[in-house]
Amino acid sequence: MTIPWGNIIVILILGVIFIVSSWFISRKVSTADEYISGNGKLGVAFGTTSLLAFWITGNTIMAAPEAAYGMGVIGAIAYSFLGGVAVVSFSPLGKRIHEIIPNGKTVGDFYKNRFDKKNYFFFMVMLFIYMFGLLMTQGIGGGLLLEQIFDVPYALAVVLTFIIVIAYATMGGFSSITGIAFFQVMLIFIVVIVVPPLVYFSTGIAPIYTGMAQFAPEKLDLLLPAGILFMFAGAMFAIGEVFMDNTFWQRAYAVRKDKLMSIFGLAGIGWFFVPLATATLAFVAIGTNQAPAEVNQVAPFIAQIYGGNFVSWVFLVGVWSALASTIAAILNALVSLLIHDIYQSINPRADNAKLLRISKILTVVIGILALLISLPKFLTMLQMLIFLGVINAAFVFPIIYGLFWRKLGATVSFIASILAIAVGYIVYFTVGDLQGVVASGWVSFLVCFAGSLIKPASFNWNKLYRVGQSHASEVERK
Amino acid sequence: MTFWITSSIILFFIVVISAFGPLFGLYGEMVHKEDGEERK
Repeated sequence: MTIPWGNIIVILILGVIFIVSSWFISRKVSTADEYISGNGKLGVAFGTTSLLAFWITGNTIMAAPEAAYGMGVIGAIAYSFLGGVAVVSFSPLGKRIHEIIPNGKTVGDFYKNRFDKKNYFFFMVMLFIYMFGLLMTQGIGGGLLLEQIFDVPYALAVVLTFIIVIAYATMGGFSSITGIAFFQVMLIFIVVIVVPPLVYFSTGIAPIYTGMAQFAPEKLDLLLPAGILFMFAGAMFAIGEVFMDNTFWQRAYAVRKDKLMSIFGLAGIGWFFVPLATATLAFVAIGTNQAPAEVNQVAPFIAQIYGGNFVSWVFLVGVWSALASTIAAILNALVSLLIHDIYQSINPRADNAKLLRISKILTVVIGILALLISLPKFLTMLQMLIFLGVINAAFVFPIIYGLFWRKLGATVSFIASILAIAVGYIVYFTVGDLQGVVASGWVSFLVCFAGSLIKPASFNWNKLYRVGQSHASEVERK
Repeated sequence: MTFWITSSIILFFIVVISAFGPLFGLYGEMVHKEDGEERK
């Protein structure tokens, strides 16, 4: 196999830019708090791009065209809808988080203080399983992507991606990641804005429509049942991902309170157009009756045919930026959880310098661990996401009601999440994968809602308001 | 299939109403704000 040096050099140049920018930003990071959660003053621009950079994954750019190729127009709309609506749905929760836990740091802070120990430990175990699974999907997905489409050997692609991400994520933590995210989102948007129009200038829009009507008229059907199920069941697991994922909680705490609704709203709407734009490339494949060797290669396959090598490289830059920014954000979110929810409970007297040092060591250790687990290719990206989606959907209602409704008690929440996961996986293996996600969501809702009415609790919100208050006043005094 | 599609659509709207409802007074217990202001 010949090594495509041109593609590797493109990744190396990008990597050097990210690492140098991270070093520049990291000079201002002096405390562990800044390293794991920023300074709480992210404005609209950096807040929105930081959310977009995490949420636009390799999947967004590659799997959306795959969904459109399989399900037609409704596939493209469904994919864009499920991710966009999830981020927008988090905006009222983010606002509430700022109001009731103003000095919190992680989703663990909420779970620990809103419910009891059994809920907290169960949630943390599930969260680590989910976040590590997500990290692996990005590592493995990234490796496969670079191997299948850009001819970079799998192991080299995974090692190169992780080493660059570990290097820049370790330097300045959250500040570096959100700073570089701005640049990465610009690169991703170049792909979205430049590639599809270039292809359509070459093919024309009317011939593609006529071709689709001739070769696959069912793919113009907006009411295709598989597409509709994907749209709403997919929205359920995407909403669960966003609500549960510490990456979003970190950003809810890190952005300015008065801008929170606009930041999450804009990020959701902005996200919607990314998969929609890349998915339109699949229509060209359908309309011209061309099939790629692997269905997930449909977008770069079409981009290369109609745009040549230049467009292919633009695609590589966008996809790799999306992967790197997501891996970096997950690494930082995991370190934040480990430091704040585990290390500080074991060693509450650790000083700032020690916390900063441990945070950096943990970033490297988790990064290397994820790299090693990603080396064997044993799963596909979308399947893993739907599999984890059963867990995500189970926690949707404990989180919503936990934030807004004092009547939800700890025992009801615990039963709801355990039962939802159990029923969800039974349905997943006996009926279907998306059906498992829907079943998990329904059990979570019914148990939380009925349980809160039958056995209402009366939670005192002040308990959450006091979280982290002594720590915050200490920081202010310093 | 129809059953799962219908239940996924209903569930989706339950989630949206549960999350956005509080902006319009659902649950009616936004006491934290007064608490916060009192503390200041």
